[in-house]
Amino acid sequence: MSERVRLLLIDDGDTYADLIQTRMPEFELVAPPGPSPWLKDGPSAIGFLADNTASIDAVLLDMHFDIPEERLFPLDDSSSLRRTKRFQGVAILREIHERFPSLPVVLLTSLEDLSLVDAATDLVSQSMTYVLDSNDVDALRVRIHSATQSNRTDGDTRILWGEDAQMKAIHRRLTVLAKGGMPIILEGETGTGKSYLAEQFVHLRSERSGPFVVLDLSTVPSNLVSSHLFGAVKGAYTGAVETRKGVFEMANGGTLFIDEIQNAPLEIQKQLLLVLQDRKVRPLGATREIHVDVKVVAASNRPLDEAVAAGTFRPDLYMRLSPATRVHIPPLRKRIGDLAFLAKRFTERAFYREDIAALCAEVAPALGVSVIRGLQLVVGRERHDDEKDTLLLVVPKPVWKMLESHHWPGNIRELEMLIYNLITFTLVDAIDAVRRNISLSSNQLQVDTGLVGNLLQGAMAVPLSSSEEFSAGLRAPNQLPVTVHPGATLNEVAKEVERQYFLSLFKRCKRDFSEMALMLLGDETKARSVRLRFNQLGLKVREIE
Amino acid sequence: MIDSRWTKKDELIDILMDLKHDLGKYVFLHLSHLTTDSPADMIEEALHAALFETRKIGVEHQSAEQIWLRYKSEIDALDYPFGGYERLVNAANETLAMKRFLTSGGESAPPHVGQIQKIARGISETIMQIIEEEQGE
Repeated sequence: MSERVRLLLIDDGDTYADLIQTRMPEFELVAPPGPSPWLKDGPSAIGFLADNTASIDAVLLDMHFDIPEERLFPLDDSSSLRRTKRFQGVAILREIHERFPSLPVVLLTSLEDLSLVDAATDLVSQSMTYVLDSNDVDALRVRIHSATQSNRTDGDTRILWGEDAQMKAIHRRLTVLAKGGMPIILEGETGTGKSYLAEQFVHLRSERSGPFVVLDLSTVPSNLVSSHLFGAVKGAYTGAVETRKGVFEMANGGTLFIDEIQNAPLEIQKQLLLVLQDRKVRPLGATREIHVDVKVVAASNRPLDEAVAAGTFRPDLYMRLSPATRVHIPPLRKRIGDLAFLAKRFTERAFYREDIAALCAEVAPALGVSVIRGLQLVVGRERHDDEKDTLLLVVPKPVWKMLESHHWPGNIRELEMLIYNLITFTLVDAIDAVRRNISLSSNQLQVDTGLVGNLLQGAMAVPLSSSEEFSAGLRAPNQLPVTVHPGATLNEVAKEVERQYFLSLFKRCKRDFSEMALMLLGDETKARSVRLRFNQLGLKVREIE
Repeated sequence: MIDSRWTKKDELIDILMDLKHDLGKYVFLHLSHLTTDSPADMIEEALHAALFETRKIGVEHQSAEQIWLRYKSEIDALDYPFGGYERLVNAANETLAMKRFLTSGGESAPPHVGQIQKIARGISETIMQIIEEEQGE
């Protein structure tokens, strides 16, 4: 992130742009190349934001737009043209909320002016919208700082949201749930970002001054869960050599994130219920109760109602946690449309890691630049960038399709690791090439297909020792185990991985090449091609049991 | 049954809202960064911008006087008498009269920042007051 706060100004006039450029050097106006560093209507701003949200800290939005009718967003059915122009900012704000819910917007108008319109006050009371206390420069500066500060503190979660409609709905829901004292249930597979959302979004928006405290129940032995949760005084049990605060007490005034709550022993669940009801905890061995004011975020990697039905989770605790506050974070494969958004954001973020920065520094001289200023991921040859100091990691389209069809059992966490590894290996290959005096023709580094295959398989590789393992713990039809051994070349390793994969798939598909063709190529009539590849890999049908 | 017809009063309120935006908001905005410590040339520059470059849209500069006369003619054409008319005209005239504080305007001593900010704020306050009166009737 650059030092200056980056703002997109949407205004039909020049006055605010002049003010910001002359009086507020700490802010930078961001806009498409052109004579004006701001945008003058809603449609062009929405178009620009679609590709640039990640590089913008906040939007400054004027209210009154005296522009041609065809450039106006409609306000509502009954609005006159004059009214539509005067409150055009409201119509643009509505679009921004809908499409980019986590982007802060500072309205360049005062609350006093908005008080004249009911619809406007409703809209601007939403999260991430900031209105000026008065129409002056200081009020503007203060609001920009508070908007961008808030977005920077919870800003890292922007990387998680993407453009998926489900995630937008979750964003809106969590924004509401974060405030107030109600507990929240976060459900979702491992790696979907539950703990991250709890800390970086819920806690920061809860407006609580106390700390954020985590207890992962999957890592605490069952006999110690009680003392971890509620605390224990010295000598309360064998091994309690000193008084220990429980997480409820530690999180007093703040947020307590209880991960894997479905693992809580039943007797502990009863105690948890009482604490949530009475807001008091009694540490083990203590004579007095301690009053606690804690917002509880309980996470589970499987639906809690299923645990209730299975008898492993108390229904009264479930009801106390309130099913109405349940938020289900979808797995990555269910929001695969966000893959590009997430992969690009993780690439940009990886650039700030020290090890990646060091590798980039080694590549820089080969590109004829003194320093690499950015790292971007592109799919296919979608752009030609003349800025040599930005490295482009080009993922060929077939490789991208491979990523899109991957099951992503580790979800976003898995994607982030894959991107990180992809960047590392690609940069290492580039450095190797430079050392062998092979010059880099451009700032575009193509990602190796085999490398992605290896990384995807490596992420889920488990030893393949018997055919029984095909059905054990494997959910998706294209998720098959392989064992990776070091080879003399990557090609050799890739070929071995592919051979194992084909062998596994052959067994999974009950020796049916048509079904294999359907899974691999999406077309069962291409069984002949699959059979040919099968043979090329040295596999022989008659030798496979 | 609610009368949903568009009346002259609605039209007046609409015009006043636009006037508050185009004149009241922008005149004050140009002056709002000034403090009592601001040097005379900065005050002069800000005041000049507030009065003569009140709204800048591309190469077009609209002065406070142009904006006021445009809306005044709309109000007059409406032919809708309202109680605040005189107050509005006075507040607008007082705003435009700030040009006397410019060097070329005749007064030799630099104006007091508090004084010009108060006048600049006055036009918005007057318009807001009239809108509320009209809405309340």
